[in-house]
Amino acid sequence: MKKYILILLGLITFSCSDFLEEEVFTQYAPDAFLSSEGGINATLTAAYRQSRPNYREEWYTFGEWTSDLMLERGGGYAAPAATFAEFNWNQSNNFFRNIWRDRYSAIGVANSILDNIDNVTSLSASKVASLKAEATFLRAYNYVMLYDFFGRLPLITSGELDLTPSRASDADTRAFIESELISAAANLPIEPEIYGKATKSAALALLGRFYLDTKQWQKAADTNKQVIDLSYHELFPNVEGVFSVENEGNKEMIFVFGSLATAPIQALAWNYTPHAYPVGYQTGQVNYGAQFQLWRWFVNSFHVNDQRANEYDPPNGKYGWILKQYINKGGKQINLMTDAITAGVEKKFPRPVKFTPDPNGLGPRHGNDMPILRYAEVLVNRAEALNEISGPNQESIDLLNQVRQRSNAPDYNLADYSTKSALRDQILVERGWEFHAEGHRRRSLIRHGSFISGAQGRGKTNAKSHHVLFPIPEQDLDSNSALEQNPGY
Amino acid sequence: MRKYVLNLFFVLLCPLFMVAQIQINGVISDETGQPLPGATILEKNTNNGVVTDFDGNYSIQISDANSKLMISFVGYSTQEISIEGLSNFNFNLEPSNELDEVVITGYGSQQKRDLTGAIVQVKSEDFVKGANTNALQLLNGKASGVHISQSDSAPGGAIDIKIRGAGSINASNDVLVVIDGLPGGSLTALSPDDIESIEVLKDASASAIYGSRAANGVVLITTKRGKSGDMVVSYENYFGFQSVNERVDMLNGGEYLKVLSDINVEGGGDVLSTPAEISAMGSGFDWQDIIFRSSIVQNHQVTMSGGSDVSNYYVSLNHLDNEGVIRESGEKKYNARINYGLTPNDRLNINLNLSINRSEIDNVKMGRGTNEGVGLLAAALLFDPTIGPGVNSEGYYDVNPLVAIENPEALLQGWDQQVASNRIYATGSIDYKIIDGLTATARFGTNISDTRRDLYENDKFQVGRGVNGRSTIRNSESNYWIAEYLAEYERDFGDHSLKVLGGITYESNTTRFHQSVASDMLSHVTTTNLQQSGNAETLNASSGKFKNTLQSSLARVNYSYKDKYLATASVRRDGTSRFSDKYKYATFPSASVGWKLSSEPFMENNELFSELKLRVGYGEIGNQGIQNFETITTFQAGSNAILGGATVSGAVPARIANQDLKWETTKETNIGVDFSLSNNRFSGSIDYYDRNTYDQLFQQPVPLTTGFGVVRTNFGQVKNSGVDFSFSSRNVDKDWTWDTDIVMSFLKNEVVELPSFAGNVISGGFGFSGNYRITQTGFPMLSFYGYEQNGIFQQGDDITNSAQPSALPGHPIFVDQNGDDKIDGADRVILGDPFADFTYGITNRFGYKDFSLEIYIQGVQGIENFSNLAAESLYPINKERNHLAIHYLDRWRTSNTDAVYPSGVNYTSYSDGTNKVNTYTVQDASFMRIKNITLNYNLPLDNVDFIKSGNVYISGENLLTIAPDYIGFDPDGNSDGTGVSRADFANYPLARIIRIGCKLNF
Repeated sequence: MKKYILILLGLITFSCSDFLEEEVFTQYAPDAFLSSEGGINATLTAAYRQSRPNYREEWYTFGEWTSDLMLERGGGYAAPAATFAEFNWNQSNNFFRNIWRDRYSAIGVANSILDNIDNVTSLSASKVASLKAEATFLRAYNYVMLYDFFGRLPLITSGELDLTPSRASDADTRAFIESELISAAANLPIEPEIYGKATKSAALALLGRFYLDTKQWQKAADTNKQVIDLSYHELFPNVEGVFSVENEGNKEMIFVFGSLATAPIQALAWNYTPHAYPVGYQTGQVNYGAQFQLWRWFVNSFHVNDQRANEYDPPNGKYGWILKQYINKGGKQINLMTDAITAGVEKKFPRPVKFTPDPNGLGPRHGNDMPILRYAEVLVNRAEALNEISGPNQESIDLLNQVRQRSNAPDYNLADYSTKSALRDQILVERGWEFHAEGHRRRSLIRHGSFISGAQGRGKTNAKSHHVLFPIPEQDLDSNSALEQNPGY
Repeated sequence: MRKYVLNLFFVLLCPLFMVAQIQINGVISDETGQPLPGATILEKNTNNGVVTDFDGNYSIQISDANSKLMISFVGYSTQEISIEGLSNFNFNLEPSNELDEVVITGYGSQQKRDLTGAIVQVKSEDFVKGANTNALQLLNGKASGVHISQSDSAPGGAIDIKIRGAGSINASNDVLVVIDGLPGGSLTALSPDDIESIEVLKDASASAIYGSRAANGVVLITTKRGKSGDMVVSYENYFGFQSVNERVDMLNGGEYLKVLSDINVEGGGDVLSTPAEISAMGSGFDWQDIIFRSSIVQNHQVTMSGGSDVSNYYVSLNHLDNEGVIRESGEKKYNARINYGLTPNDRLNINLNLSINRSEIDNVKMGRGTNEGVGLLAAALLFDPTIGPGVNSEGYYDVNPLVAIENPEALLQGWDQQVASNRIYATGSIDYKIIDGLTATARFGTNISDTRRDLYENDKFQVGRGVNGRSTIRNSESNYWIAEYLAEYERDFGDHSLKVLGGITYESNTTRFHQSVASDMLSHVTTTNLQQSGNAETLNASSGKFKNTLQSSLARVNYSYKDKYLATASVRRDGTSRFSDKYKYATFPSASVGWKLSSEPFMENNELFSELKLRVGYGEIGNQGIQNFETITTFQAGSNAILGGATVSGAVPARIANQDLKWETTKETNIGVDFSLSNNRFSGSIDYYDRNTYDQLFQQPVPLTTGFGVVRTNFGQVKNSGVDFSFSSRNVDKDWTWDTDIVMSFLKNEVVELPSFAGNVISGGFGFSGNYRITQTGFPMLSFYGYEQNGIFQQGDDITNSAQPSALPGHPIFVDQNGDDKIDGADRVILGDPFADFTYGITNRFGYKDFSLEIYIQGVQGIENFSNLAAESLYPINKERNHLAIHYLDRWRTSNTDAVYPSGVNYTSYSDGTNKVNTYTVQDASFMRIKNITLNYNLPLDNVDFIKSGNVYISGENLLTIAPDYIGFDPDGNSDGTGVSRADFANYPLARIIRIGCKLNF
């Protein structure tokens, strides 16, 4: 009997310590991974991916529906878009959470590169410096975007877990972004190593825009001048083709996020076009219910010779920036500039198609790169800064005319602008013609002081002065007691 | 590994004892003295047994003159007899009552009369009748404390089971299913005809023997085995004619045009359709009729079983063919089973179970997608009813471009998915009796499955056309094995009876998958069979491998004194790979006691109670239902970017790891009473339980500035308490009989404690509706959270000074709960919860001669769901989507001011995000259903030689559902899947089935 009990005990007390080790087959141990060159490169690639804007939320929801040039009707997106058009948002709106989350997630990825890159022994010092500069640029780019939307920010600069970060002061946030971009610009190459990667001019142009938005006029003028003085960039001569897939990599583009129509996931393709095609548009391509449109007054405001108002009408060989008329699936001629608008079904407005639809697009997926910074903006930014410093001046006029001449619009004359505000107003108008549908509008209006007054003028009675900043999203207020909400929310 | 193989070898090498044999003969008869052929006589605590012949005679050799004989026969009480030296022994068996039945308890069995824990047994004859394809359907409403709902009625769809509520806020609430001792089995890969019984271990004192996976209850399934005697061959089948008995009443074509036009006009807009256009449209197209069909479900099973004193066998073949009630959907299943038992000598007993299953499921596109990604049934409801199913001149199915909902016919023709699975279950066990009373068991089992999913999206619908065809193939395989070594010692010492069990177990589960996708195909003809013909740039492959392991030691003691005082204690120590070294192991103890009052002298003269037993139990059980890797920091591949015109691979940190994570623990106390009255004419049991789940595996929201949204932590407490009640009665017992079984369960779920950092956890999102659930202290988990609607603004109301100053007459009035003169998130209240207040099942059986009739009614009371269908109807993404007729035909107008529903004019001003969760969209989903009526006739086959017995039946299933406050297909369905949360949005509808079937024994 004893013998069996002993055997039994042997069975029961047996234990195998390796048996319960958690085996990982599909993920990487961070220490080893981040001290390898391949690991750092892959993480940097992820930082690019995560920095890529959610264009529909950042450009259109935040940038355009709150502004004066564009409108959205239809689709699952109509209600959220209306929330922004009507200035009805609050801190529980998921769009704020999503953008805050995505941008801080990108910052976290950039931090893990900066925290660990010094452990990589196989890289030369100069390579380490340029990789650091790329990560620093991407981190700063995310902070610039967050600052634009939310104001002063919790500055997360390392991967160490911090569950109660508080918001830095406005001055500290600005100083941080400024120093980051200066340091990145110092170590980034002029010519990108691979198309789509950060360059010196990208860091400078972003800094120039940041100075402008924060009304540091002299620094804005100087920094944009630095980009011009690199003499690396130029306007693409044919305005109709600036954004087309076949002209990718043209020297006007200072920084883009690359897209591929054949990319395995839709987020890496440009799926804007189905929003711009009108319902029933005869393309054989995908058409979304949510319709992105331009107000007719805006399209009518272009100078008659301005090629930026050229029509998009492929059956007739026209590939301009604006879709104004087409023959629908039923064979009926639809004119988006003149047809009667049916109240309640307002989908007959002209369409911004400056991102020339990709002839090799696959369904909603087009190959157009996402333009973040382009040379035309650098020119206009310097023109605006110079006007703010010393009023109307010939250099500002010349810079604006560079942009206008490219699209065959008549030149401005200094004599026509007697006051700073007259030229400032014209610059804002010019920005609409050049940069509409690129997500710039809200930022421009805020800088020009007309974001709220303009909205009120459009009958948006909810618009109040505090709406120039969006609210800090609810989840972070709930989970982080150190965080303060923006005033007014 | 080698170590325990060696140990096993030792056990097997134990010497065999040779002993003298004693022969005993006799006749076994029934209570009237008629001989019983086929009764089993077994020497107690051995595998030595024989079967009586046609005249009830038996003859058995036993080894010990003091042995006891166990005499058993189906339908009769098993008797234990001391032979006391006699060599000839005749015995009359008494018909059994249910307390004699043997109940499987996990790693063993007990007589029902000796149970001390809360265990429900449902035997095959009591299963829910019907065209059941999932073993859980057999239990629906039959076991108290167990709430089963058919969350998805699609062929191969999921069934949801909750035992005594749900205790886990963020970790798994899935029950553990054990099939013939093999944990984690698939309930769909089993022929219901092969199941002998299902036991549900409800309370922690019963389930703690399964330790870390028992937190949500344990379901034990036992398959049939061969019985000693001649081979019985049986064939059974049924044919069921099924159809959808419910239609959701949407606007028809003419109503649709009129409503859209009228609302536009009421809102100051233009006339969109003239009366002539409206009347020309007529009723338009009923898309539900177009996608539904009447179809057939059929099932065939051939079984051969039999045995001798050294072996028994049960072999079955089963085929089920279920054509879905939605076109292009269906399921075919093939099952083969061999259960074999061998007793080569009186010490050794070997059992082998092998089951092979293949299933082929043809899916239609379902799910909660929206816009272009919409599912078929949602498309049928929301699609423009003025457009029909044909193709246009371009060869495409027409759509209304204003609504971004695909033509349902295009979805049927353009989206084709097949899922084929193969599964093998095998268990083998060797019991070896080392000495009298001590048995060692080694048991090995494996569950191997592979599944291949083929999806082809062709150019007949927009998504497929956009990518010029897309082929997706996903292969996944799962390989699970278990090794268990158990020893059991059983002995009586005078009035004391003792049973001790100990053992160790090892389990390992490895899953792998591979997926490849190609699009821009050369031709649609080849579907998924030629991915290399896709555009090479679009080829995308992914793969993965995951493994987790579990190692446990367990022990249990059953003790009884004078067969009146019963006690059970068990302990299990589990270790899992999922937790870090700090908390890898945890111990789960339990104890329970029972007292058979009816065996006490003071109850002897009692005439009322034939049986009365009190039970009290306490146990602790765990939950390890989290993902792999949650305690370790890793980087994972993903976040690819386009650089240099090509896709480049990225990698990102996977999570915030928490090394301090440990098991979620449930502590439960159960108090129960089993009773049997008036000479077993009435019997039943009542259990009260109090079940608290601590150290919740909680997804703690963290600031998004960390780069993550949540980190898994242990915090919080949820309490489930309630009463389970079951009652059986033989109402009439004459030349006709009438029996009634009732089960009822009352449950209260309450969140007792939440982490202070989390506050109230508001979550969920369905389609375009915002957060609809809240987990808040003092209320049930995942309650529905939204705005209380109270009336509609009328003309002349002082709207400007109301809390909704921009509302129009005809807009809904929301209650300003906090009186701050505005309606915002702070005005939300709890509008309902996803737990039923009580559930019930009532079975009535009538018998007359060879006829029997069974009527089964099932009900769920006091349960709510969030209706995304109502939200889509009242607050459409595009108003050109179709609507529920009731919402719009009875909408507020100046001519219909006492309407229930709002005007629909400028509705976007009251339909943003979370506003959609309100009194209109959180609906009462209580229902009562005539689940089944079956009329059976036992064939008079006395004069037929080649058929021993047989019966035929006709059966109606889901005949009537009464759900007065519910709008939708099935109040029992759940578009949120099988979790706790409940939502309703165009679920695959439940079919009404009329079946005819027969069973013949040869």
